[in-house]
Amino acid sequence: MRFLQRISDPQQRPASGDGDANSGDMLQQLRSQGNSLLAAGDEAIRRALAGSNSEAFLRASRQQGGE
Amino acid sequence: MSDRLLGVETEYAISAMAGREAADRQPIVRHLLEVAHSTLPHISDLSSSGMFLENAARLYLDCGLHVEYSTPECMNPWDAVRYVEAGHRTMLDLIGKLSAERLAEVETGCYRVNVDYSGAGSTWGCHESYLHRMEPELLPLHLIPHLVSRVVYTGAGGFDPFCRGLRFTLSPRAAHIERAISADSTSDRGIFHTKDEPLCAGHHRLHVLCGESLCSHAAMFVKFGATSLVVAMAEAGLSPGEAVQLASPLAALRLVAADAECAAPLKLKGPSRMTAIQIQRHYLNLAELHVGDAFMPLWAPVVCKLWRQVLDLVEAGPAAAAKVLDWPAKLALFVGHASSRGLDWERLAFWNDAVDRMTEAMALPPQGGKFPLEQAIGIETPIPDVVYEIEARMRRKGFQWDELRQILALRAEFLEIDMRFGQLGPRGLFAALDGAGVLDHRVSGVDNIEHAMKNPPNSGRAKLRGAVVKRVAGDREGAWCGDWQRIFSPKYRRSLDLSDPFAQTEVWNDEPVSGRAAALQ
Repeated sequence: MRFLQRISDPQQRPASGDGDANSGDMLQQLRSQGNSLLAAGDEAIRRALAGSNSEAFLRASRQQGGE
Repeated sequence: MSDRLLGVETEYAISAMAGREAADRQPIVRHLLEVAHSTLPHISDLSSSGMFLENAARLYLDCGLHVEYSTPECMNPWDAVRYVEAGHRTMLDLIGKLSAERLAEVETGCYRVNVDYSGAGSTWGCHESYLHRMEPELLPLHLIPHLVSRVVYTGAGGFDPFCRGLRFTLSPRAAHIERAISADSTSDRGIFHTKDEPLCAGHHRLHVLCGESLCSHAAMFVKFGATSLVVAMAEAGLSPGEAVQLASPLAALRLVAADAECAAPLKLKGPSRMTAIQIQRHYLNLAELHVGDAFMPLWAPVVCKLWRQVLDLVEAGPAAAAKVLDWPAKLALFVGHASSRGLDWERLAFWNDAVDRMTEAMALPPQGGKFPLEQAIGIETPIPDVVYEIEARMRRKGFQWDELRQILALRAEFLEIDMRFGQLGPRGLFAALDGAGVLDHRVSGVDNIEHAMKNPPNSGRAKLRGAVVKRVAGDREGAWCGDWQRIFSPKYRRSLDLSDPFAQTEVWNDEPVSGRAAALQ
């Protein structure tokens, strides 16, 4: 429960507007907080997609049923 | 204090790649089950080609050629998360063994993912089951507002699978939900599923199919814990959903799934509106008010505390929740990746609307949707009126078609990122972020996953099932088999009664042989 220790800051709440626009603000917020998630995410994505053919990958896991 | 019982089914996606091309998945999946049969201690499943494992879970092949893992019956949310994770590790081990056997011939991956982006229009389920004793007909009233509004923390995040652009959604599975209430599970799915197959005596089973496979332990924990408490309150007659009835549950679900700020007001029956977070706080306040009541489980205070923390985080915005919950973490990755690829994330909303408009026009005769979107924006567009209308809006904003071409060119890459997020093993993005120490999703007490792969929960009939599977798994002569309610040997004509889900001691009966059990003899 490490995240229980954090007290959320109401000042972090983005200004109201449409969802996509505020998601764009998210980048600035994460950067301004020096968030390590972005750097780690960039690196992880680079490794995961290395040499990948995305179209073929999506076909390779095609679901034929499912509930 | 009252005992609750819950369980989780996870449908796994399996991919097979030969170099950079898709390979035939069918032999891979079938071989995966053969590897499971030959390497995992088990008894046969009477109702499928699957098996019950020594941790009392069930592993089997389900419709649509996917592998499914059902956790054993758990009596608290820690165990529910622990056994979901045990299922992931079991699958990862099987994939490892399979890959070792097939060498580098085909690269096989396994994913906790929720929607198919290949165009098949299908989905992978992650279903929850909650045992209860109330009249099932009364449950939708109390559960539907909860199931709709909990998406703010239970959403897996991803893209709308039916949008040909890139529309982020808190819950990709929501696009596959078509009704408020339904008995179907493979099409025409409902927010509330009316299936009531208790698999035990004297109880009912709430089967939730609108949920999603998650990576964050905190998200899973609160999902299982909060929903258990809502069921407990409904069962106790507190009518938890009565004051928050949604005017249109399906419209509300769509709105919640589309709103990354979690601030959209949802229309209730009557004049009021409430946000999803406010509806969740309504349930939470009631749970906190009754947290020490006899009908509540012992762990209710911990669930309430985490539930409140998660709602506070979501209310603070997606950036605040990005280290804790699935959809805000994914959103952060997508927004960051868009930036690195030169895409303006804020402008996607415009292009998604344009793509929707063109897709709609292309679906009409004479086009009938039978040409690629790229052609629609070419010089010889078959839908000139729609394209001119969009171009007029583009001129006002200074946008160019090349931006849409770039989005369409990168679309598959973003969809792959969504799938890779939940990939099991080190190549998975969530696993990589977790390994890098940049996430904050773990819940104290969700540990001992290795132990849970080989041992059942320590109470209820799951404990008995696991213990017996361990004892008899090596006895091939006994041809042991079972289902959720019993374990049986046609050879010895002995049956372990597991019809009481809270059973603490083994009750064995002599039985005549019939049905498939006879065939196994």
